[in-house]
Amino acid sequence: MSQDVHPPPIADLTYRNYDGPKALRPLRWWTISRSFIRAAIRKKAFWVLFGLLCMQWMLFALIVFFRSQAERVTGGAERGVPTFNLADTFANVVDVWIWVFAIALFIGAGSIAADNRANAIQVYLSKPLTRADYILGKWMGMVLLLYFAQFVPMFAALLYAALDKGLGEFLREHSHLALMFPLVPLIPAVIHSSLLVGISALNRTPAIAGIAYTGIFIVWNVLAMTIAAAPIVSDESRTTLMFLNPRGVIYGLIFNLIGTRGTFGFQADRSLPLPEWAPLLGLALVLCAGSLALAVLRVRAVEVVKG
Amino acid sequence: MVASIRNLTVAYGRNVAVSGATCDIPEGCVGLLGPNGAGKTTLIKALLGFLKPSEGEGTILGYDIRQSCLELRLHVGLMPESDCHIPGMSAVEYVALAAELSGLPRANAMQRAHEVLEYCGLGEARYRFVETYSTGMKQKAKIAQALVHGPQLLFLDEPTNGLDPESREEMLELIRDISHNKGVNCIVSSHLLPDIERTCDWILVMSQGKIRSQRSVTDMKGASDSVWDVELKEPAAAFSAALEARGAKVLSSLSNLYRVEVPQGEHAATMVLAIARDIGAEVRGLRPASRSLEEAFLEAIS
Repeated sequence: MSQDVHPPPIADLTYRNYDGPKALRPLRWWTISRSFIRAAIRKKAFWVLFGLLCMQWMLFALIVFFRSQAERVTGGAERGVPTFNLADTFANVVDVWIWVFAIALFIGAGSIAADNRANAIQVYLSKPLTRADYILGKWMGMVLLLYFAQFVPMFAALLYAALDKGLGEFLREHSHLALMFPLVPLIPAVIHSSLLVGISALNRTPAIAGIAYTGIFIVWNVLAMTIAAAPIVSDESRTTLMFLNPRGVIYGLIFNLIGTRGTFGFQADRSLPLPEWAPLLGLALVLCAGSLALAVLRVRAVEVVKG
Repeated sequence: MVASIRNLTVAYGRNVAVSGATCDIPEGCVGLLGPNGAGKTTLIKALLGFLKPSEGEGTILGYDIRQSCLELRLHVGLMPESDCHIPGMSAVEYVALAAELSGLPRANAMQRAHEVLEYCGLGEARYRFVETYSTGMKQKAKIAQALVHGPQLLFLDEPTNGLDPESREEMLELIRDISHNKGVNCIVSSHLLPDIERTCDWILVMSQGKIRSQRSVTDMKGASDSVWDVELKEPAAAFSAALEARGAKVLSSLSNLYRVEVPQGEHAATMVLAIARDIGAEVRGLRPASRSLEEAFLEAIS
């Protein structure tokens, strides 16, 4: 006997309330970091700035290429020609701060300011998240992106230098640099991210946050240089004083990490003195902690008007 | 009960926005009704833990609003009053992110985002950036992000703000469906009485930071036991006079319709029928008077 059989529906389109798995995760800030990184790398301008940063390290590779060719041709140290020091050249190239700064500014200025303007913080904090989770998520996203944006071209350039020299010889001669270079991108990443999170939290417009950070970064640097240049400052403290500003702290710590501040105008025999690391580290910690504390105070789901 | 509040006071500095609020909010769709500045939004924000109450206590779905904010937010959703979206995201990314932040696994979050957007009427536009949406669509995106993790309680703060009549109608229909067909408890804050009347079963009236009344819509619209509507076959001037002679008060009369307040202790039907018989009038209808929500609201806040 034939039966009238109705085929089952392809999909049940009737909406139901969600009853699947749902839990309070300890690493809930990571969702914010991931979303932050995804949004940043989607923008063309990020890749343009990354490309310019890569050019900086291509310059390093070119210097290595021409210097090593020149040494081979001239006979190098045996004939009294000042030898080319890889760590000094590395320090000189690292000191070109503009592209790292530009990437930090591009990704960081709007990190919280854009959310402030769009009232998005209310959406974030209506979920099971604390203010600390939100700030940590933004901060970590920025740190990771800045770290890898610097690390990748830096690693590629050093790899070229190592292959040019021979890996074994490179590791023997530059063991300190080989060991320390992965930490180098971490310093600008952490300091830029911390400062930008604080400044961005204070603003409702990413552009204003960016202008404020650029102003602080450049004006403080000029101020520190001016004070350091004063005749009453002793020669011993002059070097450290000129590094007591956000830019100086970043590069002063990097130079201490790799053990050299490079040479004047890439000239092998004109080494620059290193600043003291302790005051720089102290200032870095104060700047980062202060800025993050400011962000925690400023980030709220509601505008609280005391009256 | 979905929420219980005892003597809750919230102040912005010296300015007290909610003062000694005490209420029990039942399951279903509850309207938080009050004029602008009554303290509705402040109350919602305090219940979600955004603002620290200066006094009092409260629980929502059994979670203490002071101690268990995170656990509480796992089970509630908020559709804020102000325009809010996460910049640089399409609706589906926005809603999926909201789901992930609410503790859903990534795969479930994306699937849920599609389902909820479809349900809220944004299925076709889900890949567009939220900032390019019209006000009505933004409101729907806001409700979708609040609903995506399957909350037991949904706070809707002025959900029809800035909507044209058609979008408003859709939004009210959506809220009614969520609360009456999908089993999600809703607290709808609004100063628009028709919206509350359309969607809610229970009403909390707030004014000047205080809860003035908490009743079901039916109770609220019903007048007191002593007020009745009488319909005669034809208008009769003698009817009013006879009622007043017996101590009743004619509150209004329109043609053959009379609203009458009978004295305490009198049985309305007996009295009206006796008077009608005496003057030779024919009673067509007799029912307890009902009033508009507006009248009830004005009475509550007066």
